[in-house]
Amino acid sequence: MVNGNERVNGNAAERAAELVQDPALEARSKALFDASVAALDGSTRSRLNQARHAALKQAQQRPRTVWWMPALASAALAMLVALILPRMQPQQQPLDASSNTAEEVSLAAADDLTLLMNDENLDLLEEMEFYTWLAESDAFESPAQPGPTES
Amino acid sequence: MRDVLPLPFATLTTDCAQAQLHTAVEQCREGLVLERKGELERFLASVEQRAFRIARITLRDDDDALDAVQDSMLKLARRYGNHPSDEWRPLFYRILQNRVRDFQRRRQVRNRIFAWLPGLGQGEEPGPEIQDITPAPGSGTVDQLMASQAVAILETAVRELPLRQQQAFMLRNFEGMDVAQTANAMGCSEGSVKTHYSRAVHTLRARLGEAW
Repeated sequence: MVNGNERVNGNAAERAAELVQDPALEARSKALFDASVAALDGSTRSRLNQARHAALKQAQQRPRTVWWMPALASAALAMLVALILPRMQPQQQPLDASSNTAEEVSLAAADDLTLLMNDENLDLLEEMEFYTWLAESDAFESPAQPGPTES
Repeated sequence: MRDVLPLPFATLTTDCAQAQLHTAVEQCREGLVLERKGELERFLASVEQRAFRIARITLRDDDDALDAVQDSMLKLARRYGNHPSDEWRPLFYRILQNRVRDFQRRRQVRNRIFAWLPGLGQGEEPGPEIQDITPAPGSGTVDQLMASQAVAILETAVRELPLRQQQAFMLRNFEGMDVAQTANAMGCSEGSVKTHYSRAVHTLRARLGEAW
Protein backbone atom coordinates (compact mmCIF):
# COMPACT_ATOMS: atom_id res chain seq x y z
CA MET A 1 0.00 0.00 0.00
CA VAL A 2 1.30 3.41 -0.95
CA ASN A 3 1.77 5.62 2.07
CA GLY A 4 1.27 9.33 2.12
CA ASN A 5 4.89 10.24 1.55
CA GLU A 6 5.22 7.96 -1.44
CA ARG A 7 2.06 9.37 -2.94
CA VAL A 8 3.39 12.91 -2.56
CA ASN A 9 6.73 11.96 -4.07
CA GLY A 10 4.98 10.23 -6.97
CA ASN A 11 2.87 13.30 -7.72
CA ALA A 12 5.94 15.52 -7.53
CA ALA A 13 7.74 13.27 -10.00
CA GLU A 14 4.81 13.48 -12.39
CA ARG A 15 4.72 17.25 -12.13
CA ALA A 16 8.46 17.39 -12.71
CA ALA A 17 8.05 15.18 -15.76
CA GLU A 18 5.49 17.56 -17.23
CA LEU A 19 7.92 20.44 -16.89
CA VAL A 20 10.60 18.71 -18.97
CA GLN A 21 9.95 20.05 -22.42
CA ASP A 22 12.03 20.51 -25.50
CA PRO A 23 9.79 22.20 -28.04
CA ALA A 24 12.49 22.46 -30.69
CA LEU A 25 13.32 18.76 -30.64
CA GLU A 26 9.69 17.72 -30.48
CA ALA A 27 8.70 19.98 -33.35
CA ARG A 28 11.57 18.93 -35.58
CA SER A 29 11.04 15.23 -34.84
CA LYS A 30 7.36 15.53 -35.68
CA ALA A 31 8.10 17.40 -38.90
CA LEU A 32 10.71 14.86 -40.03
CA PHE A 33 8.39 11.95 -39.31
CA ASP A 34 5.53 13.58 -41.22
CA ALA A 35 7.87 14.21 -44.13
CA SER A 36 8.97 10.56 -44.14
CA VAL A 37 5.32 9.46 -44.26
CA ALA A 38 4.60 11.83 -47.12
CA ALA A 39 7.64 10.48 -48.96
CA LEU A 40 6.40 6.88 -48.99
CA ASP A 41 6.72 5.53 -52.50
CA GLY A 42 3.79 4.41 -54.59
CA SER A 43 4.64 0.75 -54.27
CA THR A 44 4.47 0.86 -50.47
CA ARG A 45 1.22 2.81 -50.54
CA SER A 46 -0.25 0.27 -52.89
CA ARG A 47 0.84 -2.61 -50.71
CA LEU A 48 -0.68 -0.94 -47.66
CA ASN A 49 -3.90 -0.45 -49.57
CA GLN A 50 -3.96 -4.11 -50.53
CA ALA A 51 -3.14 -5.14 -46.98
CA ARG A 52 -6.09 -3.14 -45.66
CA HIS A 53 -8.53 -4.71 -48.10
CA ALA A 54 -7.17 -8.19 -47.43
CA ALA A 55 -7.46 -7.71 -43.67
CA LEU A 56 -11.04 -6.48 -43.89
CA LYS A 57 -11.95 -9.37 -46.16
CA GLN A 58 -10.33 -11.91 -43.87
CA ALA A 59 -12.06 -10.37 -40.86
CA GLN A 60 -15.38 -11.40 -42.35
CA GLN A 61 -14.19 -14.97 -42.73
CA ARG A 62 -13.49 -17.17 -39.76
CA PRO A 63 -10.81 -19.81 -40.18
CA ARG A 64 -12.22 -23.28 -39.74
CA THR A 65 -10.88 -24.89 -36.59
CA VAL A 66 -9.76 -28.43 -37.27
CA TRP A 67 -9.69 -30.56 -34.17
CA TRP A 68 -6.45 -32.27 -35.08
CA MET A 69 -4.47 -29.06 -35.72
CA PRO A 70 -3.23 -28.60 -32.15
CA ALA A 71 -2.01 -32.19 -32.17
CA LEU A 72 -0.28 -31.63 -35.51
CA ALA A 73 1.35 -28.45 -34.22
CA SER A 74 2.57 -30.27 -31.11
CA ALA A 75 3.98 -33.04 -33.27
CA ALA A 76 5.77 -30.49 -35.45
CA LEU A 77 7.31 -28.86 -32.40
CA ALA A 78 8.35 -32.26 -31.05
CA MET A 79 10.10 -33.00 -34.33
CA LEU A 80 11.89 -29.68 -34.11
CA VAL A 81 13.04 -30.52 -30.59
CA ALA A 82 14.25 -33.93 -31.76
CA LEU A 83 16.18 -32.24 -34.54
CA ILE A 84 17.82 -29.64 -32.34
CA LEU A 85 18.42 -31.66 -29.14
CA PRO A 86 21.35 -33.71 -30.51
CA ARG A 87 23.14 -30.44 -31.18
CA MET A 88 22.69 -29.31 -27.60
CA GLN A 89 25.02 -31.98 -26.20
CA PRO A 90 27.83 -30.69 -23.96
CA GLN A 91 30.51 -32.03 -26.32
CA GLN A 92 29.30 -29.67 -29.03
CA GLN A 93 31.53 -26.72 -29.84
CA PRO A 94 30.21 -23.69 -27.98
CA LEU A 95 29.11 -20.76 -30.06
CA ASP A 96 31.61 -18.46 -28.46
CA ALA A 97 34.33 -20.35 -26.61
CA SER A 98 35.72 -17.16 -25.16
CA SER A 99 32.58 -16.21 -23.25
CA ASN A 100 30.03 -19.08 -23.25
CA THR A 101 30.50 -22.52 -21.78
CA ALA A 102 28.83 -25.46 -23.44
CA GLU A 103 26.45 -25.66 -20.48
CA GLU A 104 25.44 -22.02 -20.92
CA VAL A 105 24.82 -22.64 -24.59
CA SER A 106 22.63 -25.65 -23.77
CA LEU A 107 20.68 -23.63 -21.20
CA ALA A 108 20.15 -20.84 -23.71
CA ALA A 109 19.02 -23.36 -26.27
CA ALA A 110 16.56 -24.87 -23.78
CA ASP A 111 15.20 -21.40 -23.03
CA ASP A 112 14.64 -20.78 -26.72
CA LEU A 113 12.87 -24.09 -27.18
CA THR A 114 10.68 -23.22 -24.21
CA LEU A 115 9.89 -19.97 -25.98
CA LEU A 116 8.84 -21.91 -29.05
CA MET A 117 6.71 -24.35 -27.10
CA ASN A 118 4.99 -22.11 -24.57
CA ASP A 119 1.49 -20.67 -24.69
CA GLU A 120 2.66 -17.34 -26.11
CA ASN A 121 2.92 -19.04 -29.48
CA LEU A 122 -0.81 -19.59 -29.70
CA ASP A 123 -0.73 -16.96 -32.43
CA LEU A 124 1.63 -19.23 -34.34
CA LEU A 125 -0.79 -22.13 -33.92
CA GLU A 126 -3.69 -19.92 -35.06
CA GLU A 127 -1.71 -18.91 -38.12
CA MET A 128 -0.96 -22.55 -38.87
CA GLU A 129 -4.70 -23.29 -38.68
CA PHE A 130 -5.43 -20.38 -41.00
CA TYR A 131 -2.83 -21.38 -43.57
CA THR A 132 -4.03 -24.97 -43.49
CA TRP A 133 -7.60 -23.75 -44.06
CA LEU A 134 -6.34 -21.52 -46.85
CA ALA A 135 -4.54 -24.45 -48.49
CA GLU A 136 -7.68 -26.55 -48.21
CA SER A 137 -9.70 -23.71 -49.72
CA ASP A 138 -7.30 -23.54 -52.68
CA ALA A 139 -7.55 -27.33 -53.10
CA PHE A 140 -11.36 -27.20 -53.18
CA GLU A 141 -11.64 -24.05 -55.22
CA SER A 142 -12.75 -24.63 -58.79
CA PRO A 143 -15.37 -23.18 -61.15
CA ALA A 144 -17.66 -26.17 -60.57
CA GLN A 145 -17.26 -26.53 -56.81
CA PRO A 146 -18.01 -24.05 -54.09
CA GLY A 147 -15.38 -23.38 -51.41
CA PRO A 148 -15.53 -25.00 -47.98
CA THR A 149 -18.03 -23.50 -45.61
CA GLU A 150 -17.67 -23.03 -41.88
CA SER A 151 -19.14 -26.00 -40.00
CA MET B 1 -68.42 -16.03 -46.47
CA ARG B 2 -66.12 -16.25 -43.55
CA ASP B 3 -66.62 -20.00 -43.40
CA VAL B 4 -65.27 -20.30 -46.95
CA LEU B 5 -61.94 -18.55 -46.28
CA PRO B 6 -59.03 -21.07 -46.13
CA LEU B 7 -57.18 -19.13 -43.41
CA PRO B 8 -58.23 -16.72 -40.72
CA PHE B 9 -57.71 -13.32 -42.29
CA ALA B 10 -56.44 -11.79 -39.06
CA THR B 11 -53.77 -14.45 -38.64
CA LEU B 12 -52.64 -14.05 -42.26
CA THR B 13 -52.36 -10.31 -41.76
CA THR B 14 -50.33 -10.77 -38.55
CA ASP B 15 -47.94 -13.21 -40.25
CA CYS B 16 -47.40 -10.83 -43.15
CA ALA B 17 -46.77 -7.94 -40.82
CA GLN B 18 -44.28 -9.95 -38.82
CA ALA B 19 -42.47 -11.05 -41.97
CA GLN B 20 -42.29 -7.47 -43.19
CA LEU B 21 -41.07 -6.28 -39.83
CA HIS B 22 -38.42 -9.00 -39.77
CA THR B 23 -37.26 -8.02 -43.24
CA ALA B 24 -37.10 -4.37 -42.27
CA VAL B 25 -35.06 -5.17 -39.19
CA GLU B 26 -32.65 -7.27 -41.24
CA GLN B 27 -32.24 -4.55 -43.83
CA CYS B 28 -31.62 -2.00 -41.12
CA ARG B 29 -29.07 -4.26 -39.48
CA GLU B 30 -27.28 -4.84 -42.78
CA GLY B 31 -27.21 -1.12 -43.36
CA LEU B 32 -25.64 -0.52 -39.97
CA VAL B 33 -23.10 -3.27 -40.61
CA LEU B 34 -22.14 -1.74 -43.94
CA GLU B 35 -21.89 1.70 -42.40
CA ARG B 36 -19.73 0.33 -39.61
CA LYS B 37 -17.51 -1.47 -42.08
CA GLY B 38 -17.08 1.70 -44.08
CA GLU B 39 -16.18 3.64 -40.96
CA LEU B 40 -13.60 1.02 -39.99
CA GLU B 41 -12.09 1.07 -43.44
CA ARG B 42 -11.79 4.84 -43.37
CA PHE B 43 -10.09 4.67 -40.00
CA LEU B 44 -7.58 2.06 -41.16
CA ALA B 45 -6.84 4.07 -44.29
CA SER B 46 -6.11 7.10 -42.10
CA VAL B 47 -3.53 5.34 -39.91
CA GLU B 48 -1.90 2.74 -42.16
CA GLN B 49 0.93 4.89 -43.50
CA ARG B 50 2.02 6.28 -40.13
CA ALA B 51 1.63 2.85 -38.56
CA PHE B 52 3.86 1.40 -41.27
CA ARG B 53 6.55 4.02 -40.60
CA ILE B 54 6.38 3.40 -36.86
CA ALA B 55 6.67 -0.37 -37.32
CA ARG B 56 9.45 0.12 -39.86
CA ILE B 57 11.55 2.11 -37.40
CA THR B 58 11.61 -0.82 -34.99
CA LEU B 59 11.67 -3.76 -37.39
CA ARG B 60 13.94 -2.21 -40.07
CA ASP B 61 12.32 -4.33 -42.74
CA ASP B 62 9.55 -3.30 -45.15
CA ASP B 63 8.00 -6.75 -45.44
CA ASP B 64 7.90 -7.35 -41.69
CA ALA B 65 6.45 -3.90 -41.10
CA LEU B 66 3.75 -4.49 -43.72
CA ASP B 67 2.89 -7.86 -42.20
CA ALA B 68 2.71 -6.34 -38.73
CA VAL B 69 0.36 -3.61 -39.94
CA GLN B 70 -1.86 -6.05 -41.84
CA ASP B 71 -2.03 -8.43 -38.87
CA SER B 72 -2.98 -5.54 -36.62
CA MET B 73 -5.71 -4.43 -39.01
CA LEU B 74 -7.10 -7.93 -39.11
CA LYS B 75 -7.10 -8.34 -35.34
CA LEU B 76 -8.71 -4.95 -34.79
CA ALA B 77 -11.43 -5.69 -37.33
CA ARG B 78 -12.14 -9.16 -35.98
CA ARG B 79 -12.07 -8.49 -32.26
CA TYR B 80 -12.77 -4.82 -31.80
CA GLY B 81 -14.73 -3.79 -34.88
CA ASN B 82 -17.86 -3.51 -32.75
CA HIS B 83 -16.22 -1.25 -30.19
CA PRO B 84 -16.85 2.51 -30.23
CA SER B 85 -14.81 4.12 -32.96
CA ASP B 86 -13.00 6.43 -30.55
CA GLU B 87 -11.39 3.34 -29.02
CA TRP B 88 -9.99 2.05 -32.29
CA ARG B 89 -6.87 4.19 -32.41
CA PRO B 90 -5.32 3.23 -29.04
CA LEU B 91 -6.46 -0.37 -29.54
CA PHE B 92 -4.87 -0.51 -32.97
CA TYR B 93 -1.53 0.77 -31.74
CA ARG B 94 -1.56 -1.56 -28.75
CA ILE B 95 -2.10 -4.46 -31.13
CA LEU B 96 0.62 -3.14 -33.44
CA GLN B 97 3.13 -2.87 -30.61
CA ASN B 98 2.43 -6.46 -29.59
CA ARG B 99 2.85 -7.65 -33.17
CA VAL B 100 6.13 -5.77 -33.54
CA ARG B 101 7.43 -7.43 -30.38
CA ASP B 102 6.28 -10.82 -31.69
CA PHE B 103 8.27 -10.26 -34.88
CA GLN B 104 11.34 -9.26 -32.90
CA ARG B 105 11.12 -12.32 -30.64
CA ARG B 106 10.66 -14.69 -33.56
CA ARG B 107 13.59 -13.13 -35.35
CA GLN B 108 15.78 -13.68 -32.29
CA VAL B 109 14.69 -17.30 -31.92
CA ARG B 110 15.10 -17.93 -35.65
CA ASN B 111 18.60 -16.48 -35.58
CA ARG B 112 19.56 -18.74 -32.70
CA ILE B 113 18.18 -21.81 -34.45
CA PHE B 114 20.08 -21.00 -37.61
CA ALA B 115 23.20 -20.55 -35.53
CA TRP B 116 22.80 -24.09 -34.18
CA LEU B 117 22.14 -25.60 -37.58
CA PRO B 118 24.97 -24.63 -39.88
CA GLY B 119 24.21 -25.08 -43.52
CA LEU B 120 20.68 -23.71 -43.27
CA GLY B 121 21.91 -20.17 -43.52
CA GLN B 122 22.20 -17.48 -40.91
CA GLY B 123 19.21 -15.60 -39.63
CA GLU B 124 18.38 -12.49 -41.53
CA GLU B 125 19.30 -9.33 -39.77
CA PRO B 126 18.26 -6.14 -41.43
CA GLY B 127 21.16 -4.50 -43.16
CA PRO B 128 22.34 -0.95 -42.73
CA GLU B 129 19.82 1.72 -43.53
CA ILE B 130 21.43 2.75 -46.78
CA GLN B 131 18.05 3.21 -48.43
CA ASP B 132 17.13 5.81 -45.85
CA ILE B 133 20.12 7.96 -46.72
CA THR B 134 20.28 7.67 -50.47
CA PRO B 135 17.87 10.15 -52.02
CA ALA B 136 15.22 8.93 -54.43
CA PRO B 137 16.01 9.30 -58.12
CA GLY B 138 15.19 12.72 -59.41
CA SER B 139 15.27 14.32 -56.00
CA GLY B 140 18.83 15.47 -55.95
CA THR B 141 18.42 18.69 -54.02
CA VAL B 142 20.72 19.28 -51.12
CA ASP B 143 17.82 20.00 -48.79
CA GLN B 144 16.16 16.70 -49.60
CA LEU B 145 19.39 14.83 -49.05
CA MET B 146 19.88 16.52 -45.71
CA ALA B 147 16.28 15.74 -44.74
CA SER B 148 16.76 12.07 -45.60
CA GLN B 149 19.89 11.95 -43.50
CA ALA B 150 18.14 13.70 -40.63
CA VAL B 151 15.30 11.17 -40.75
CA ALA B 152 17.79 8.30 -40.66
CA ILE B 153 19.62 9.82 -37.70
CA LEU B 154 16.36 10.42 -35.82
CA GLU B 155 15.09 6.89 -36.49
CA THR B 156 18.33 5.36 -35.25
CA ALA B 157 18.17 7.41 -32.08
CA VAL B 158 14.51 6.52 -31.46
CA ARG B 159 15.17 2.84 -32.13
CA GLU B 160 17.90 2.81 -29.49
CA LEU B 161 15.63 4.21 -26.77
CA PRO B 162 14.47 1.87 -24.02
CA LEU B 163 11.27 0.14 -25.09
CA ARG B 164 8.77 2.12 -23.03
CA GLN B 165 10.41 5.45 -23.85
CA GLN B 166 10.40 4.50 -27.51
CA GLN B 167 6.71 3.62 -27.44
CA ALA B 168 5.73 6.76 -25.53
CA PHE B 169 7.71 9.01 -27.86
CA MET B 170 6.44 7.50 -31.10
CA LEU B 171 2.82 7.49 -29.98
CA ARG B 172 2.86 10.98 -28.47
CA ASN B 173 5.13 12.75 -30.95
CA PHE B 174 4.86 10.85 -34.22
CA GLU B 175 1.26 9.72 -34.02
CA GLY B 176 0.06 12.75 -32.05
CA MET B 177 -1.94 10.83 -29.48
CA ASP B 178 -2.81 12.54 -26.23
CA VAL B 179 -1.69 11.25 -22.84
CA ALA B 180 -4.89 9.32 -22.16
CA GLN B 181 -4.86 7.57 -25.53
CA THR B 182 -1.17 6.78 -25.19
CA ALA B 183 -1.75 5.32 -21.74
CA ASN B 184 -4.50 3.14 -23.16
CA ALA B 185 -2.28 1.99 -26.01
CA MET B 186 0.67 1.26 -23.73
CA GLY B 187 -1.41 -0.30 -20.97
CA CYS B 188 -0.03 1.97 -18.27
CA SER B 189 -1.01 5.03 -16.26
CA GLU B 190 -1.03 8.54 -17.62
CA GLY B 191 1.68 9.45 -15.15
CA SER B 192 3.88 6.70 -16.52
CA VAL B 193 3.33 8.00 -20.04
CA LYS B 194 4.46 11.46 -19.03
CA THR B 195 7.52 10.06 -17.30
CA HIS B 196 8.51 7.82 -20.20
CA TYR B 197 7.97 10.62 -22.70
CA SER B 198 9.98 13.20 -20.81
CA ARG B 199 12.83 10.73 -20.34
CA ALA B 200 12.71 9.92 -24.05
CA VAL B 201 12.98 13.59 -24.96
CA HIS B 202 15.85 14.04 -22.55
CA THR B 203 17.66 10.98 -23.94
CA LEU B 204 17.14 12.04 -27.53
CA ARG B 205 18.43 15.51 -26.84
CA ALA B 206 21.54 14.08 -25.19
CA ARG B 207 22.11 11.77 -28.13
CA LEU B 208 21.28 14.14 -30.98
CA GLY B 209 23.11 17.09 -29.50
CA GLU B 210 22.24 20.69 -28.98
CA ALA B 211 22.50 21.44 -32.70
CA TRP B 212 19.53 19.26 -33.56
